[in-house]
Amino acid sequence: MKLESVFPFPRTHPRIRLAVHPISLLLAVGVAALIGLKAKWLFPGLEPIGSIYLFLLEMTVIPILMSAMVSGVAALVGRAGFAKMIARLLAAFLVMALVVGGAGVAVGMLGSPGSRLERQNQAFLADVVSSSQKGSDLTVSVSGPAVSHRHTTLLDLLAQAVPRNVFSSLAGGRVLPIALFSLFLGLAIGLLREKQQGLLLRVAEGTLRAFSAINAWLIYLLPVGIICLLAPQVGTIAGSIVVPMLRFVALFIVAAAVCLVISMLIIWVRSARNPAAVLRAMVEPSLYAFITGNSLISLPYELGALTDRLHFRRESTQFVQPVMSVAGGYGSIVFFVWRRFFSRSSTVRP
Amino acid sequence: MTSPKQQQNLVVGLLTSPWSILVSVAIAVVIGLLFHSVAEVLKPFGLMYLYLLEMTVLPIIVSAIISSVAGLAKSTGMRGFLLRMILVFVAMLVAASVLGTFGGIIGHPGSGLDEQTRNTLGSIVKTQQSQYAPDLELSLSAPPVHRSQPGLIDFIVQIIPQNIFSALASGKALALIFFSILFGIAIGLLRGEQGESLIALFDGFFKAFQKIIAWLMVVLPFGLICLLADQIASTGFHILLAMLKFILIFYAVGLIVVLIDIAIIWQRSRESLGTVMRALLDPIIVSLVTRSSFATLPTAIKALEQKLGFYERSTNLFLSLGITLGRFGNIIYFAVAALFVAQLYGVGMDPSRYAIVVIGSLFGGIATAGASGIATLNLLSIVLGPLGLPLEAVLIIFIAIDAIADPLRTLLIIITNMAANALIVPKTDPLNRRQTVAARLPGATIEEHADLISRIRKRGELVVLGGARPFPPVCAPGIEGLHEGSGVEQASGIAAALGVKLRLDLRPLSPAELVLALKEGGGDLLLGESNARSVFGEELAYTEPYLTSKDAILLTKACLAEVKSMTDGGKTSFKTFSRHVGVVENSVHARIWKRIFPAGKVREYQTVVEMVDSVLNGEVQAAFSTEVELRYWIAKRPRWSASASCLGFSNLPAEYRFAVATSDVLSLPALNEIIADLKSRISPILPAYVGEQ
Repeated sequence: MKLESVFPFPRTHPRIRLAVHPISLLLAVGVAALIGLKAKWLFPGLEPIGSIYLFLLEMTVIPILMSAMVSGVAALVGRAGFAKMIARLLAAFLVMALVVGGAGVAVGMLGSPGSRLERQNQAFLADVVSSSQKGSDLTVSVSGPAVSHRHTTLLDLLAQAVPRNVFSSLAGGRVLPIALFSLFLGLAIGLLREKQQGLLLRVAEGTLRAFSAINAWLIYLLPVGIICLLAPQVGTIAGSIVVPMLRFVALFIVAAAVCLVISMLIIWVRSARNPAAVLRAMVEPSLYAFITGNSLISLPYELGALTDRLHFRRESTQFVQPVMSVAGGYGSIVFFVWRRFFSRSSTVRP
Repeated sequence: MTSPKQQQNLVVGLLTSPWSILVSVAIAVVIGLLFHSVAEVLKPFGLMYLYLLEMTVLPIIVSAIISSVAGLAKSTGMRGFLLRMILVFVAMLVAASVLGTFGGIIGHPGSGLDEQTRNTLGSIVKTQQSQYAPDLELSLSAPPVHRSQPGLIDFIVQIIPQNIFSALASGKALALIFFSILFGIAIGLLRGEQGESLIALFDGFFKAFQKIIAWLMVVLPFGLICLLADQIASTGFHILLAMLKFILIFYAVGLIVVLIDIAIIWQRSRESLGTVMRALLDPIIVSLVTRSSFATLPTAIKALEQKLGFYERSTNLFLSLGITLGRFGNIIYFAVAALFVAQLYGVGMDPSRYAIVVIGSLFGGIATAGASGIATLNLLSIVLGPLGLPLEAVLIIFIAIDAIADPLRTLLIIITNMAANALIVPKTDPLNRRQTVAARLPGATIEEHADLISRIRKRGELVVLGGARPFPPVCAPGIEGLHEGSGVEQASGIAAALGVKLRLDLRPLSPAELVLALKEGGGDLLLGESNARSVFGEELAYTEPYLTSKDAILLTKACLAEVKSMTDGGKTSFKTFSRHVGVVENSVHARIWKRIFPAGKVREYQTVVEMVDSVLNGEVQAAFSTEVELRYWIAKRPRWSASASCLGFSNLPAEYRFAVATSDVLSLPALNEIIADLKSRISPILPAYVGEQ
């Protein structure tokens, strides 16, 4: 089956180009920073609009995740090289996790973010660290209740990933079981040799494209979303944590930048496009990830960037990218490694 | 003697007639007033019935809105319709709110109550209080407590479903409607097969759930008895007396609105008042008794579409949307109730406070979307809050009389939405439609399109369009390039009945192109795939099904079970059969199946008799022919008849119809008459029809 573009609308529409033009986006980020720092009285007005934008984006997450995986897997299964691709996926996952974790450790060792802190800052940070623990679950659960990682082993996590009741997983927004279910459904549909296969594939593809269309409309509002979502974040951050944790944040940004550069290099080499095109393609998914703090929300934009702009194979991308988004919380890995590092170094030196 | 089928139809007709509904209401009243214990026993059955109805609500709303919005988004005239819909809808919402407020101002439901009534209300609250809400205090003279109310923006935030599936699980109707509209537009704008498949899928869901509703309507009289008897038994009369003035005023306002609605529907439908009243009887009674506007939705749709002839697709869309958002009954009730509470507390009202009542009851009413019963009453706080009046204190009174108020609220929602629908949606008037279709065709005039039959007679030729693809058993190339099949036979039958020649015009076109060709007057009837409404949709009109000699596969019973587990409907591939299969030489089937099966797997026989024999002897696994032919020969041979228990058929369950352009819809009765006549003449002479040996 010939797969068409993920976004069913031409991205060259002048209004879309204006909305996602780097200048207007930069302008929006600037306005957001300004409001966040100087006009906090606007927050009560901005936050509900930000929530509306966020909810609209979140609404499309599960359907897109499901339909992308189902149609991607169904198109891949039975093709030569599918097993090889899975092996590569696992290998890439491990390598990337190691690279990302390694970058975190390296920067942590070199920078010792927790040392040389004043006593009062240490007490303050101890609170902040323990209260921000659920932040690391954000990539796993979009809207469902956050599950504590305290006593979860890998096996527990795997057991929880099996959907006992797929409807309750869907209603609870538990992404891992949904992804696993979609994987099996895609495999089964791909191997179906009846005429219903065509219908099911058309339904999955149509669903993906319809929801991508909704996402494409939401791009119009990206500058508004940036202002409404980013301004309160800037305000909150500027208010409390940044000053005592400046060192930590700076080093985290360094570690993240290292990972970003490595990722960009990989994408550049593998896509064989010029660096400017790669950078341009990464703008949208990065911005969405940035303002929403949720890697799954940017999934449709990641798919659009990788397939439409960088011309990676559509069906493989549809399979690999959701799996990586669900399972590979690379940002969280850096953050986790970091937190360990940080709390250790700050307790060792009283 | 009547056949079992006819008896069944008689029973269904009897149970669904308005009279049996009225009779069951009467029975329920008797049971409710005189036999409380029986009412108690019936209660769970009534609830079961209600739950079954409610079960279908969300699927119907979601599927109806998605498929109709998608259909509208596909069509070009959507913008005008939407604008009209929004204007009428908003105007009617405001009108309902203003009417309710006026009723409250003129009627003074809460002021001028005598001392005894006030005492009764106070004591009711005290006794009810322990039952429902022990922490609430009612004092009619205490200053009202101010409460902070959720604003408009929070209301909008709630409309957006963060997770569609959790919205489905918790039945958030507003959020689901928002999603369905958005998804419907997105599907409608998708090009190609995917959009079509999704529309067909949701349309299928909608039709399936309508089917379930149709079954439930058959047992409606029993459901009514069970539901109503308990309601009547559980309503106390002393509360009713104390609240009599409020109830009377609400009912007076409500009845005025109902009368206005009926007048609107009567005017717009251009039917006699008797027809309109007969059509409205079902939705009125169902809404009064189920007290659920959603459960009444299918009945209301049926009344408007089938009995009053409003345009189907738009009615589906508008009523589903309207019943969810247009909570006219709740709006009117909230306005009257707010004024009742204000007057009860002796709070002074000025124009700005009346405006708050109008706007508050409007939004409060809309916010009750998806809520029912006591949950609805809780939203009264949206009106009372800005007025600084406490809801908690008076909620008990409203709960106590809700069994009396709820039916009218539901009726008002239903009938006002039906009136709004009548104002918005055009009637499926064949004459009007014909004019618009004719106006779009270049060079076409109404006279030319006036009558398909006279047009064919004038031309002396019946032109039947079809796809070039062989489509047995309807139409496939036969001996010497002539086409044969049931569709061809019926078409030639129609041509003979009209006294004209038949011209088959088979073109290698896609379904959409065929529809266009027919619409532009390239032919009179469309053949072949015209049974596939999912392909041609509502763009064409269809005749009654004609007699089809269905494709059939003859198998032994054991083999049939095995094959059925491997195939679906008509799809058969060579993988299905492990051994040889048989066909008759030079038949349509021989050509078709030899193309499908690998060479050497198909065995040809000179006669049907030989072929059937070889199935019985186990030489071939299956035989392909038409069912009429196979059955005829099996009946002829005593040996086969005796062993018929070991023979099975696997059929295509399709019904074939001719399609005509919607501009020719007036000619359908005449065509159907010819088809019915052909069928009645062919049936008794079926053996001759398939040919003697």
